[in-house]
Amino acid sequence: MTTDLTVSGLSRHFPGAPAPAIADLDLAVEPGTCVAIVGPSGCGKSSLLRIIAGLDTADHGQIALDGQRVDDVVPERRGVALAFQQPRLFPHMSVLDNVAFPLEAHGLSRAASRREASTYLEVVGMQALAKRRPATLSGGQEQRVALARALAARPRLLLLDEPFSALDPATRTEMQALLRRVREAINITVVLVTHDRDEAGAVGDRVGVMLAGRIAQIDALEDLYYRPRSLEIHRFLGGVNEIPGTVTASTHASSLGALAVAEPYAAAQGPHVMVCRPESLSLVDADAAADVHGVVSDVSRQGMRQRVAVDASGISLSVDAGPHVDARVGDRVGVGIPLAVRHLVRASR
Amino acid sequence: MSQTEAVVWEGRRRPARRVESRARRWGRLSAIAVSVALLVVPMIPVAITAFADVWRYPALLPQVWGWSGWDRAFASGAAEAFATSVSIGAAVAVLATAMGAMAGRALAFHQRRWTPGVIVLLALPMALPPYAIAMGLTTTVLAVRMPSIAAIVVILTAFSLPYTTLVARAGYLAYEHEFEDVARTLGASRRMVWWRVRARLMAPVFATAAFLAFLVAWSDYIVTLLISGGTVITLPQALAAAQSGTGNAATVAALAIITVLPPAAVLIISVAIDRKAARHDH
Repeated sequence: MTTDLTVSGLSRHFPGAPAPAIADLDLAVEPGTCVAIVGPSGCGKSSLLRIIAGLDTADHGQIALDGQRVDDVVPERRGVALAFQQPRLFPHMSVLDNVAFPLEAHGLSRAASRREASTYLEVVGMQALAKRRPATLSGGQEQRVALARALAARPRLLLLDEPFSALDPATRTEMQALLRRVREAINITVVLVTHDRDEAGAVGDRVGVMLAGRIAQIDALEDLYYRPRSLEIHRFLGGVNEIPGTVTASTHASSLGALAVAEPYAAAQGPHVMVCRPESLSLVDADAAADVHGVVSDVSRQGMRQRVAVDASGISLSVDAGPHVDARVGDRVGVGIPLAVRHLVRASR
Repeated sequence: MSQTEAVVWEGRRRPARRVESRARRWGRLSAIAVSVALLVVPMIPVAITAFADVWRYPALLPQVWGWSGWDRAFASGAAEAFATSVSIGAAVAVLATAMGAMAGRALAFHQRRWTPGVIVLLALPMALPPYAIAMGLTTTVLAVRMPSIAAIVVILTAFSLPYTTLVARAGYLAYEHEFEDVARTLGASRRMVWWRVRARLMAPVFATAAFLAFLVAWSDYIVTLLISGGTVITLPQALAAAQSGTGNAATVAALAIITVLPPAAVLIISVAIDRKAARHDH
């Protein structure tokens, strides 16, 4: 049985803090899905999970599981397991007893708990290390055990608070794959928070961007990247190209000239900022047909790709190019902005 | 560095590590040996005296070995004094550790403006002469007509509280509260969290606090004397009484050994708890 989560109007202002950690936040998670919440440090992600788990109390708002309010239910009866960034395996227990702990808490005998705990260890591939002490495990192994322990609690909802952020990149990728496999094996509703945009995209069916205590947008990762609702979301997700202008009759007019916009923006009128991601733009020769012409002002390497900054009529456009593109500072170039990636965001007043 | 040099360097590195670890092991063993020597060597003459039925100057060892010192010690009530001391020590250790744990937790988790002031107040009895504090507390318990043993336990508990509270506070400050949060979201009741998580993780801290409280009670002389007026005899009092006489060195030595053994046993137990916890952490 899977569970849906509904959070509405949630607020939490810690005494002495200049701004609320959570401000009138709404969130809906469908049964059996995984929502990854991504946001900068201090945006209230962990506070949100602690309140959903019952470890902290909201000033206002409601939390419901399967439509039933759980605001007043103590954490141990809420059916919500929370795994932290640090696995927090009990150091005085073996791996097996750590996983058996929630089963004992639910009333099973020690022997029965251990028997069942073995099956959860098998799910995460840790059965061979059942007798080991947590202190003898690697970071990745500890997180696997922590995941098995959380699943052994048979939660209605699994909350993961930056569970893989302390791991090295290879182990992190491995753990993300493990989480996907576990979700296939055990159909469970998951909310994961992370500051890693790639991780959010790798594990979440939908990704929510949390800024200043509220969910600013929740969508598929592609929509967040290419159709952000605000400049703040665009910027948080690494967007750097912003072309301020005015929209009239499906045309965005700016210092770059008139650029047509696609059908979904036909109704847009007035001041709008056109945003487009560097990986969607292309560099062309200066004498070729292009949407914009300009001069290369900077070239920087980003792994196997290079980011080329083009100064066009006072607006800087960043374009991601392959390793073999020979662009040098001072070169005159053309920039292609495909119609499909010209996204409009209403200009803030 | 050439490849050959690198191989030679690697070849030397491993023995160097072995030497370092051997040196560390020797250092540790030396430290243990010195500590044991400091504790045990002074007790050797005492132990010899306890079994010396006849030992006249200038002989290096007793002329006659025997149990007369022990016989006299037990005949003078050493067993009863031992039982009284153990009872008082255990009661004070339990009460002071329990109260210190609560106070230490409050001071660690609920920091207020007045927290430093409370800590200074708590530490004050350690800086003042015990006699002065004992006199004040004694007057109070006599005024409320508290029975002697209970009054002794209460006053020694008050004496021990600064130690147990400060030890518990330090332990709680280092305590990772997220373990309890995890346990609760895993379905553990408050009682289960306390017993299966907090008590186990804090066991070394509580053991240290209990050991200190036990030592305070075990070594007390003045409070017991002032409160009971000689009706409650503990080991330090039996020892002092024997010491005040002449010609009973063997009895004094036997009582001294009996006095030393329980704290040593408690120390060994608390170190064992600490080592067990350390093994879990590494």
